[in-house]
Amino acid sequence: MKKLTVLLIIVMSAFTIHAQTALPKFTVSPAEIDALTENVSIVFDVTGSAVEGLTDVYIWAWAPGLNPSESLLDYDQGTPNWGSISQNAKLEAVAGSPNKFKLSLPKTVTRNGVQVTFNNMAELFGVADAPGKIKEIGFLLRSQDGSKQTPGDLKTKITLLPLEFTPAYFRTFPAKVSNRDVVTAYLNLSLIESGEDQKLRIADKITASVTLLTANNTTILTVDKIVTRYTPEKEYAFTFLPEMVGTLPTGVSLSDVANCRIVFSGVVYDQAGGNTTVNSKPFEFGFQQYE
Amino acid sequence: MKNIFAVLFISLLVFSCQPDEIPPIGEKTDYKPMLSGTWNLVKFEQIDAEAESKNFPDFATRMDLTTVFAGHAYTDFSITFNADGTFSTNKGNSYVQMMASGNWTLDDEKFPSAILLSNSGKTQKIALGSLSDVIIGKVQFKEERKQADTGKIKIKYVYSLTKK
Repeated sequence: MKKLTVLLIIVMSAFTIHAQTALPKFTVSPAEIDALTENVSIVFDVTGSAVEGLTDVYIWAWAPGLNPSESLLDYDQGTPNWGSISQNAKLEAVAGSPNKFKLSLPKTVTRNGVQVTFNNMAELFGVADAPGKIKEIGFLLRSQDGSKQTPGDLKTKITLLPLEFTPAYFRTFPAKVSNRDVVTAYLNLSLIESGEDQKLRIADKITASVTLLTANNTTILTVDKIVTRYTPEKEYAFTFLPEMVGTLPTGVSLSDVANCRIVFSGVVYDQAGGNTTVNSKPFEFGFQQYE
Repeated sequence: MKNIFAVLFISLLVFSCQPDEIPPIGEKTDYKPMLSGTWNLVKFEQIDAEAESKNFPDFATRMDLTTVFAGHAYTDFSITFNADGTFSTNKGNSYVQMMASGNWTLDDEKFPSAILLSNSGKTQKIALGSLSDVIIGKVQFKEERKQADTGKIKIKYVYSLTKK
């Protein structure tokens, strides 16, 4: 009987320890984010963790390397204090799922009497002017008084995508534009994609065509043979203003221009003295709604 | 004699403890006369605000558009602010989108951050950069494109002008 009791105590202890150290599961949406990604949602499942059963669950989050490293949700003013976490750090309960809680951005809170909105992780950690400083975010879930908590020490963390410029076969500058903006399109033939006509690599006289499209991709106008320039970064580029690239048909205004399609072309000469035109695939992008 | 010295000493102490009167620091700068005159656009730049915040390389962050359109140089543009509160622009062949003429005023006479152009009930707000160089005939206008739903700045345009 004594042995049975000891065994039961050991088994119970093991379960208790497991319950205290079990990590909360979490899902980040979109799956990959950087410090400037907006409309981020993180859903936490606290089943089996130390905070299971709590009605109010708080997040204590930090970004290694920052000073202070804690998120601005954790404290209202001054410096973060484990013993007095802000109400702003309370997670939103997911309706119908008692073990699930959510943190969504944008999030509007009141800090030190002032209403602020955090649109992304950089703003959440007070480094909107230098978002590249955040590489990863560690967090733990806890009760308000801190007596219950999930494991810290980066046992649960979100790794952010690097904020670095990545050269691409096709890009625009600015990366996202409205139909009222000056647009520069670039083609980097050193990064030509495998599905492309590889003759483009040796093509001469690279030109481009621009097609402006409506929201349902009906062609508004196409302008061909736009001369490109070769940049110091070894890209072919041309610049246009949607409003001035061609004459919009009667009855069509700039507000109807929602999408854009660009095709680059080049001339390839053969040994017999003839030449053929090779085209890139069409690159399409939508215009943003900017004020 | 000893008493007189004591009185004098106390008087000196009392008067020396009077707070100093803060001297006037000069008249507020009146920027309107400084802005009056004709300004030529000498440089026109476009900045990808998101790339700038990520500290991307310069070629992926800003672009000099001054002469990017052959035959439509932005240096064609000039604007004249008249002392009587009227203004007129000369676009030349440039693609600058600014009111042709009307009235101009500052959003704040003492601490201006923008010039307001108006004509026939329409107003165009031209944000000003630092005014520290106005006195030497240089000024910057700024234009920002913001995402409609978040208000976040996405693209910036910087107009650098010099006085004729």
